[in-house]
Amino acid sequence: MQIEKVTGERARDSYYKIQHPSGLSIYLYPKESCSTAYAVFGAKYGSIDTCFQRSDETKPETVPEGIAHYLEHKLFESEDGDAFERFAKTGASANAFTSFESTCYLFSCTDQLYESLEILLDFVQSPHFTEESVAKEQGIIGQEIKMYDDDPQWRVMFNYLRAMYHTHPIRQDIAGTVESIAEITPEYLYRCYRTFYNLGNMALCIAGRLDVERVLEVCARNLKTSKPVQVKRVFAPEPETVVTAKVEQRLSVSLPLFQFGFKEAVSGECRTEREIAAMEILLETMASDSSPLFQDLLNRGLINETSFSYEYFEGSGYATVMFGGESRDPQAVAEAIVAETERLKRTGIDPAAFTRAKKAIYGENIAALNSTSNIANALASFTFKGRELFAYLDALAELQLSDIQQILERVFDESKTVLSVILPL
Amino acid sequence: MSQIKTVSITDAVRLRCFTDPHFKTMKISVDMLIPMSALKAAQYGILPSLVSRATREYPDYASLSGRLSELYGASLDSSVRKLGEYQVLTLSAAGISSRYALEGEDMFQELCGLLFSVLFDPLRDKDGLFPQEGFEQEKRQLLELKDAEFNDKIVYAHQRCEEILFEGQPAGVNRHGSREEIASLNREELSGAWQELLQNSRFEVFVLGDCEPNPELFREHFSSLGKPFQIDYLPFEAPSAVKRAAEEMPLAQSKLSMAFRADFRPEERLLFQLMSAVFGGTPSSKLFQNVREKQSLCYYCSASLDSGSRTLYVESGVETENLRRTEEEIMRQWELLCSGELTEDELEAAKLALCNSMRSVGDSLQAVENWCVSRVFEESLETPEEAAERLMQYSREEVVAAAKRLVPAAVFSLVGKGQQ
Repeated sequence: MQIEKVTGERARDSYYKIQHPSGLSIYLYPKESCSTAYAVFGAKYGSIDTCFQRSDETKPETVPEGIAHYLEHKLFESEDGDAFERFAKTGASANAFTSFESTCYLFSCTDQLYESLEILLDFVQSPHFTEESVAKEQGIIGQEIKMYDDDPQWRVMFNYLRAMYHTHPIRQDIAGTVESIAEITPEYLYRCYRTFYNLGNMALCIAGRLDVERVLEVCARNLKTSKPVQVKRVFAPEPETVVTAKVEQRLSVSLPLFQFGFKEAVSGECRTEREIAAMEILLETMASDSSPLFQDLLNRGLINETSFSYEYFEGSGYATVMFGGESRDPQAVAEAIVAETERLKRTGIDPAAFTRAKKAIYGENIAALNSTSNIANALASFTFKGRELFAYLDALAELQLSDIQQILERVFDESKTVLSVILPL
Repeated sequence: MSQIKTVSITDAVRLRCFTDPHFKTMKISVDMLIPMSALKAAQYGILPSLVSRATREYPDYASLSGRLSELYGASLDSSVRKLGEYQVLTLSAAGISSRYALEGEDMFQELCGLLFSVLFDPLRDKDGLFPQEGFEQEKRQLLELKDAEFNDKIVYAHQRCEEILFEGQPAGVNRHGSREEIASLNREELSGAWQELLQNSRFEVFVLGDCEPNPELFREHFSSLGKPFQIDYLPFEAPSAVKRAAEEMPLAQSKLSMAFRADFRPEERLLFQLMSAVFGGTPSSKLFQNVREKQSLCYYCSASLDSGSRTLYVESGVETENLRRTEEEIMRQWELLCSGELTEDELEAAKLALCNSMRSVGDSLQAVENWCVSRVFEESLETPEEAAERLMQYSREEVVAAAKRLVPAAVFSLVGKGQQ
């Protein structure tokens, strides 16, 4: 078993990276001063994995939308009963979530960490699906889908992705549709489970009050080595263009919501720490509260402080810079953003704003390391995207102004923008 | 966890210090509690965001935001919330601890400087009024916040339930006042309102995280402020009938928000929290296990206790055709609980879940502040550890008796009529 201590000079923290013989990657970030420990056991398997190629098979396979999320719900049930009932005996607060790229099962506790960890490792490795239990979940997940159907923030985002991507499965809802989940059977669930839930495709991340030796003892007793399978994500070719530049939907809202952004042409690989850091600093420079763009939009009454946001949203085969919020005139906001990118291309980025942005992002990242849940979730997300937490903090600190200037030219192409708007009825 | 130390600056101002060098951040926060009033809610409600958008040294939003970025992404935040019959207006400054400041800044001094300048010497124009431009911006943004609350139907249904429950009473006033009151605000009245707030509020001041508070500094700044008054729970009046209201909207899913009232004393709050957890606060609860898991009626169905107003809310999202059935099932689960249908395992699960939550408080500066503010009704501050120990002593019978003291009071249905 390989145990590597990874130290972040800037964070002044360390964690242990362990390559377990079972194939599982384990990350343990002790914080003795904390009362809590937060554990995430996740698989690199998200809603975008609807077409995949196993290393031991000859052809890729396509499955219905929404299976990763459906599996997340159903894994909580096993032959021995419900995992929540088992966690109820330790007091741990357990949950799970499915994202585009991964499925994570987690708990937070102040006591009985090792007992709760046994439950976590056990239930995630013990699938038990029957026709009856699969059918029962359709009503619950159907209501989850409908809840999001009424959520304007969710809708503005998915309408945006559908307008931007022609084929990439990022355009599909994470939970699938009421129709696609009706196709899900125990066979599909087992098939996807056995493909993606092999320990080589998974990670265990724990942050907080923990003893490394004891965690590894629990792992030794509970990890079930499975046949190593490599899984390749298969995506149809995605054109560089967008599907449509503008998409609108009417919902029961009293103020329009918008999402506007630029499609970036990417290869299948995820971005490096340095690329992510550069984009974060660029966006902070360009659109944070102290930026000329934000001031202009605010002064013109086009955005509000509570809702305006921006994000570099990227993963396997997709990347987009997006801006969102509430506005009485989303079109004017979009035009102002484009105009600002053009201005920055011409005049260059203000060095003082660059320095401020670096300090702000540094501070926000240091502050995030207070929280055991932030740390464990970040470790999981970073590992599934092939990145390392402290390398990212170093990349932020070492970034030069010239690094971000060149992104401007590459990413902000007016011909590849989408404006998604939710309008009042 | 570290200890929460309390210093009484005056009868109207209390300083709570929770310092711990293991945090990488610090926070200084000032909570002003003032009785809720329909006449004043909008005036007071706009003030925290208005005074914190600029200072004399950084006289516009852009320069203040720039300064906060230079201070490693520090924040100068404001918020407005309701606690029973009180409006709670908060101003806070937060940032990384000085040991992480790359240029050796004294972060405590920097943050206190910013916070004190907006509290004690907010920016005014030559006429002594809050600047026109900032006022118009904040007014517009508050109105847009109201729009956003309508956009989120879970929030909207809850607010409507609260409104019908406390109609015509201070507790029924929106935390920011009504849309009409916000729209008709003027700068002249706000100038005096800020002084009123400083004179008439009860102050809860917090110094949290990796810093060294100096109580003298706070004594110097706060001892002439505020007004001492007893903070009490919302008076209990037994509802004579369940107030009902329904509203139709073009939605894919209907929302149900139900309110129960209970006449409990501050020292019984923990028992009612436990009862709420047993009823609908955890995945082992009656509502989750029956309404969601057994009947597949919903994705969420949960109970939560608003202790300030002594109200227990149950919220769910369901198919329109299942609204009635869901309400009946929720009532049936409550009646079963009242009749004693509660196993020791269910009780133990709720206790452990609540203990877990309470013992986690010390890991978050915000949670520590919330813990203290939500306990202003109590004579002395119980620590999370003490509360966890006391909680474990409650018996099945006591929890069932608490459930029996709930009185159904209001039901709001947001009836989905199919999305457009």
